[in-house]
This record gives sequence, structure tokens and C-alpha cells, in this order.
Amino acid sequence: MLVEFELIERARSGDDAAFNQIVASYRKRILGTIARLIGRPEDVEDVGQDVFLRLYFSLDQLRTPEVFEPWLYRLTVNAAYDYLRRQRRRNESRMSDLTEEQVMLADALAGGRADQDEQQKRKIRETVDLLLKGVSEEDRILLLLKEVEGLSLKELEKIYHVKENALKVRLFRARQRVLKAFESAQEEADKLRGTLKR
Amino acid sequence: MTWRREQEDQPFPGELQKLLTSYKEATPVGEISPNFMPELWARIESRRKVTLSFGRLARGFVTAAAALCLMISAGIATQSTSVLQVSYVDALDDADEAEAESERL
Repeated sequence: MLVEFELIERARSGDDAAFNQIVASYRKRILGTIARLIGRPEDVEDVGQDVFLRLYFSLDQLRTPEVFEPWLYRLTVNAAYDYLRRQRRRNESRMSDLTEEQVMLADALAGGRADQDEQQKRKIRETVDLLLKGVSEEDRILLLLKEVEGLSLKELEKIYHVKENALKVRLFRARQRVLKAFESAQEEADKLRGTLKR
Repeated sequence: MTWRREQEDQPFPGELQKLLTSYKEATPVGEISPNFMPELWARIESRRKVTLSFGRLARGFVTAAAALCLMISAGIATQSTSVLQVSYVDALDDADEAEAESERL
């Protein structure tokens, strides 16, 4: 916990200064998580504000301060999921686009030239974003929370209110899809490298 | 069941796992805008106003509905009393007439 239980209790009682302190303490962590969940830096703060807005109006539903962090993660997941659904409705992604993306993915994995640190990071972001395109928004969020944020299954149980076994099954299926995308992209990358050498 | 459990727990192969782990470092949060908190509070206040207005509107409707119900109930009650009175008066009249008739006979 980044804040004392007493601060959460004060915020629940309507102390706005206490709420401000909670936001200040968790802001960086939550915005970082959102950045990885939605993959669009320009919208991170907007979604972040959405999370804290929901927190403000739902604090009275918090049973005990002990469940504050899973509760906050739950709000973060919901806000990210709502954002991704809105984005999906806006984007028209057709099969030909996916093929183009697969090519981009293969190119990113092949990595033909020496990249500076920022370019390398950009490639990593693009690669992972493309790998996760083949899974649903829910699975993307779940995978990122588990594999990137490093949350345990117990913590995910509290966030999703779902039994560990059900989470394991879901993770397994999502992992299989990502693995398949990764393996086919690697094959393409190997072909590209082979072509470039000639 | 054991095989299934093992399958479910299988991590990603090394290169992919490494890629996902480095994804966290590759997506740092930049400088948070100084407008973050003011904008957040503006959204909170805006939603409070909407909630308050909606609450007032809802209370207004409830009050109006209650008043309407009272008026309708009063109207029905008054109408029923008048009908009864008219009927009672008519019944008395009828009774008087009948008595007068029988006396004549």
C-alpha cells in the first residue's frame, strides 16, 4: 500500500485533501499501467483522470481500506477496457490491414539496423502491441497485468472476482494466441533476414 | 488433470518473455501534465452538478406526483360523498312519495 488506511478512511468521509494525497501517491503507477494497457500515450492522462473520477464517486462502496488497491486496479481495468472498446468502434480494421501489420511485426523482429535506445523502445512497444492485436481487449488487459505488471494470480483473483482456475484457463488460451502470432512472425522475420543477406 | 495444469502454467518461451518484460521499461510515464489535478477536479465538480440537478429534478417529480395523487384522491372522495348524498336524498324523496301515496290510498 502506498498510503495509510487512515488516509483512505478520511477520503471516504469526504475529505478532499485526503483524496488529493491518494491521487498524488498512486498517479504515476496508475498512469504507467494505463499506458501499457491502452498503448496510446496521448490518451493516458485522460483515461487516468477517468479512473480517479470513478474512484472519487465510488469510495463509499469500498468495504474496507484493505481492498483499496485491488479496487483501484479494478477501476483501472474497467476504464482501459471502456477506452479500448470505444477505439475499436472507431477503427475499421480489415484483413488487409492485419496482413500489413503482420509485415510490420516481422520487420520489427528482423531488426535490420542498429537502433538507438528510444528507437529500440519504440520497436518493443510496436512489437508487443501488434502481438496483442490478435486477442480480445479483456485478454489483452489480463495478459498485460499478469506478464508485464507482474501481478500474481491471487491479486488478479481480487481484481476480477473470478477463481484462480478460471483465470489460468483464460490466460492459457490468450497466451496460446500470442505465442502463435509470435512464432509466425519469427518465421517471416527469418525469411526477411534470409532475403536481405542475399 | 496434472498435464492440463502444467499446460496452463506454462510461461512464454524466453525471447517472448524477455520482450514482454522489457515492454514495461519501454513504456515509461513521461512528465505528468500540471493540468492533471485541475482537470480532474473540474470533471468531479461537473459530475457533482449533474448529480445534484438530477437529484433536484427527481425530487421535484416525486413531489409533483405525490401532490397529483392527493388531488385525485380528494376529488374521488368528494365525488363519492356527493353521489351518496344525492342517492340518500333521492331515497328519502322516494320514501316520502311512497308514504304519501299509500296515505292517499
